[in-house]
Amino acid sequence: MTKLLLVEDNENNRDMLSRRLIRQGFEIVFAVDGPEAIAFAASERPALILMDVALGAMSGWDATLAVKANPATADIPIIALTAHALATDRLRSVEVGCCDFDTKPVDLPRLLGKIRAALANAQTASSPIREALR
Amino acid sequence: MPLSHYLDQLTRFSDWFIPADIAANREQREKARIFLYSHICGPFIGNTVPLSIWVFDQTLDYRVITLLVSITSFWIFPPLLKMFGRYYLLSIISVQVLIFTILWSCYFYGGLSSPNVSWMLTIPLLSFMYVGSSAQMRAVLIGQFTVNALIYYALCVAFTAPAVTLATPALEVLGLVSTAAACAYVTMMALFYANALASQVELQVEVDLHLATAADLLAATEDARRSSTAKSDFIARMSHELRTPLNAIIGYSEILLDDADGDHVETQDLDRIREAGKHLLKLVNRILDLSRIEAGRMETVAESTNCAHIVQNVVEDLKALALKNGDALTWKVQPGVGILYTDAHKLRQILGTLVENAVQYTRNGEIVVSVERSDAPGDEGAVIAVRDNGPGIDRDRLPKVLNNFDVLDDDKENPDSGGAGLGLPLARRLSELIGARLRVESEVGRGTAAFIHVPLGGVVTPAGEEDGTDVARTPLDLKALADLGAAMRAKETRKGECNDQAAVG
Repeated sequence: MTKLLLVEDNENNRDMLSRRLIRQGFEIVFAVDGPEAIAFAASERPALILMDVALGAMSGWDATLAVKANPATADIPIIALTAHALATDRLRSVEVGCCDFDTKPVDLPRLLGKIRAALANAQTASSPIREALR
Repeated sequence: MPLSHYLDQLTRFSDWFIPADIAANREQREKARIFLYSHICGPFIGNTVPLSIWVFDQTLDYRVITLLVSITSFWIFPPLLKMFGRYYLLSIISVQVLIFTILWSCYFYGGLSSPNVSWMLTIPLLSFMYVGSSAQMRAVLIGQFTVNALIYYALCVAFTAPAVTLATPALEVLGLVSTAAACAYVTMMALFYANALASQVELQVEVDLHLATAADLLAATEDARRSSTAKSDFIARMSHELRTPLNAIIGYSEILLDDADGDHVETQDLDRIREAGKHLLKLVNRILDLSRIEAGRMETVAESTNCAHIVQNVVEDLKALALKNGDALTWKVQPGVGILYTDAHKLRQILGTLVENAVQYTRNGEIVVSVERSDAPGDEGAVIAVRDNGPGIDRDRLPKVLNNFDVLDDDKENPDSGGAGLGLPLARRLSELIGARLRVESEVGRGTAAFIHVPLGGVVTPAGEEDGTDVARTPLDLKALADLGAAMRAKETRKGECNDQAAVG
């Protein structure tokens, strides 16, 4: 079963999204804040991380940077989830090393498409975005 | 007061000689005025000395004539100033003439004990008044005095001063006249100077007053800005507070919909909850966008944008709604539209609003979204048109629909048409923000056509790529994002990152 790490501080959102993803056949691990996300990325070795960017003290951006800075977890694809589809958010997510970006409330079919694309991509290329940014 | 009246006359007269470039600078102008007062009035006072000598001596020899000519020559300076400007050069020449005249009158009429020695005082007085605060010019003047003094001393040593031809009583009277004239001259200049100073002080008081007013205004503006910012901050915060529970309502109704075991009524109810939630979310988002725009905090980011892709996307999103209303929703893109450089997200938002409006108001009709190239010189870009054959909008109401949020009150017969009238005004403002133009034409009973003219923007790829691969199909346009990333890093645009993320769970 594919393991996903869902980083989300709002309990409702966490519950909703995880239930729907479990139904789609994923195994879900939660993290409620940035430090937990960084720790679980290393200990649980998820196949992909869904990262809410508004997490309180430590933002999802910073958590992503930390995950990407650790060689043990750098290859885990991360999809950023933000409340608003601002171009600046989208850009930021690429800058910190996310492989994709989606907006909340989650449109499940769309998010599933992105998750599957990211998982498929992770197996083939290392990071096309990194290369594009180089 | 008659004195000030004459002074005004004199000021007007002397101002006539001041060239425009000097008049433009207040300090320069004040110096030039002093210079002109002195040159206009000077000969009247100064000539009393040679005239007295002429009267006492009863002969008009070269010594007196030289004095008369050199003193009168000061009148040439105002016209010279008007003609050539060159204020500092004229000042130096004038000082030179002054020194020459005074030394001449001393040399021939008694040397160091000459009755004209008192005039020596006027040399530093006048010359330093002329040059003002310029340190360089002051140094030049001191050099000039020294050279003249040395030459004078050399001449005195080389040639014995001629004997004074005037009798002692005449010399005494001359001393009196000369000293009185010198005093009058110095007094006059001091008065002019005091006057200029007083007007400067007055001006300063005026300036201080204006500065105080400006500071008050600034404070008031700042207050207004603060309260406006506080207001939009509040709206932004509230919008997010509203959005979090809404997300839960929508999400859980979707979970329940997934679970619904074919119970038609239950499914329908859940669907209504979800749709109402989505509708409310849309309103909240629009309010948030409007408050951002009003606060001047809506950022735009231009990127390579495929119009065809956006149109296709929007149409696909609204297919279901069109079907529900019995509308045929189609799109077509003229070949060669190419790729525009604009804010894709906002363009999508604008187009989404227009198509949604068309679909909402049209029943069993036809909606066509088309993209055409605009080649008008200076106006290149793309025109996206949304045409429907719905009920149309009354000509009088059209501007209101675009500008105000009053559809809610007006649209009693179509209560669930959506948007509370926020859609079009928001679309119009977003268009302005991305440099596009939104135009709506409508005829009651025949339909409505909305046009977005999107300017070409900075970068464009060769035409014919509107159904191209990368940009259209992948969710992230890597190349465009990379370009954008570099551009934004350079500009440090991110410092104003939207503060609303923090409030969202």
